[in-house]
Amino acid sequence: MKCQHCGNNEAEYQYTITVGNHQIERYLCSVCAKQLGYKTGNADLSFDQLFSDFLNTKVQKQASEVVCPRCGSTWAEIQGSGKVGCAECYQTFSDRLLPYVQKIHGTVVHVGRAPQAETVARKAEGILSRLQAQLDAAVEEQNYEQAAIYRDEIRALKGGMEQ
Amino acid sequence: MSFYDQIGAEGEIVVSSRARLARNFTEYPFPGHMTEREEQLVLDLAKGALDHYTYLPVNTMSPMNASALVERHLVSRELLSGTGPRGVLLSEDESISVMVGEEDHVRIQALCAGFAPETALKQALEVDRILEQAAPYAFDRKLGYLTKCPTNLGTGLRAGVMVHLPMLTEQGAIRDLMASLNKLGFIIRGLYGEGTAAQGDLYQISNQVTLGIAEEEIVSRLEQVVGSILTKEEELRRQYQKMYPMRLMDRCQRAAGLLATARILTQPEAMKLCSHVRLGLSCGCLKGIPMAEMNRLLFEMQPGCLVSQAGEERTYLNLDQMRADMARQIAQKAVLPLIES
Repeated sequence: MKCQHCGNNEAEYQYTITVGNHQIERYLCSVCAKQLGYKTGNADLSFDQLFSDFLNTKVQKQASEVVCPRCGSTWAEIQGSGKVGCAECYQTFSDRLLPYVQKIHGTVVHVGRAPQAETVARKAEGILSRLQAQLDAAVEEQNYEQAAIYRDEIRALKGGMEQ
Repeated sequence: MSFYDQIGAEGEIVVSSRARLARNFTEYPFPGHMTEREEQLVLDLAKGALDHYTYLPVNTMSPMNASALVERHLVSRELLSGTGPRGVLLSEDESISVMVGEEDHVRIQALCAGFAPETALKQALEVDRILEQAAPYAFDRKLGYLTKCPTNLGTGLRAGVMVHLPMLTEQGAIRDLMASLNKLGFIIRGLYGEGTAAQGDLYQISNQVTLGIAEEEIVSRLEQVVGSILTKEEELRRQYQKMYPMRLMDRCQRAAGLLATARILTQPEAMKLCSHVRLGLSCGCLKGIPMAEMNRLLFEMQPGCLVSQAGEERTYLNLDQMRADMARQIAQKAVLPLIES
């Protein structure tokens, strides 16, 4: 079997990692295993041996490790390659990734373009919060007729956003 | 027709400008964590959105043809090193190339002749708008466009220029330049990116920081930085020409003579000679060769381009002959200006 990380070398090691309630098996060559920060133990360990003894302790050791629920990446893998496995990794490992991002870019706040859908959503959110403030003010003034108009507008806008 | 067939603004020093956007679709994990089916789906998505582009599958083409695409700066070397469905979508004039299945799902690249990073950015953003209609991008309000490598987060933009700096190289100023560019968030590299040598005194300068700075600001800072490098290179050229006119003329004309008569040319030798000829054309020591032809020669005499033009596998000796044939045809047009005695 080929290494699941580089896809070139023969896999020598098997690691079991926990993703949510599931366990995922990863097959890695010794180079990638080292690179990704896994302990490689005896270089001659075969899969059979791994299954019989090494694996048992390894599984227990790694069971508590945080794993991205989407792609199965571990922090050790991200650290080893300097790259994440999917968009969700940025949430899963945000506490560890953000300091790294801060170090590279000197900030963690994006300035610049956004996808059109995002721009539209932001605009709608702006309108929504303005309407909400107007609604609150109308209720405060006991102007219920006007408040009902704002309420309906908010409902219509929210309906549109959900669609 | 390619970017090197035209001469743009500041064309004597700036060969081309480039804008590259890294984008991923939210629905799929990043390359390296995708199943082959997912890779195919992303590829189909991009192909469907850009159905008027030509698709070249790098995973099934011959290594030399694929290499030619790298040499012509249409794809990166990283794109060739994977397995599974991957390739490049090319616009008709090859000014836009969209790599699918490189480090990110798509890498949109716009190339323009001369010093025009703003135009390149505009073109890349147009394609970006088309692709985002196909499927939602992975985007976070705080971190911007999400990319496989955190170094591309935010705008996902790398804006860069390819510059010919023979005098700054000769003065040994590149190392200092590297250090000061680094402080400003820019990087200077050899012709084919990270870790490559600066063949033919050609360099690429691009931004390093992509987060916390808007696209237009990145481009405007690049223009400022490159603008001052151009001024320095021009100044050095003028000074050298004033102090050593005969030495400069000898170097450029001798190089043209060698290119016009050589039967065997290795790539490093040819690149060096081309650099001298290019310099000669820009400071009036040589005439008769259009600058665009020199640019074309710089790219098309690379091994992959030569083989893909020949249409068959050649030995390296033959490649050196082919290179010399190509160079002779162009360099023989050189006219030496009259010298007043």
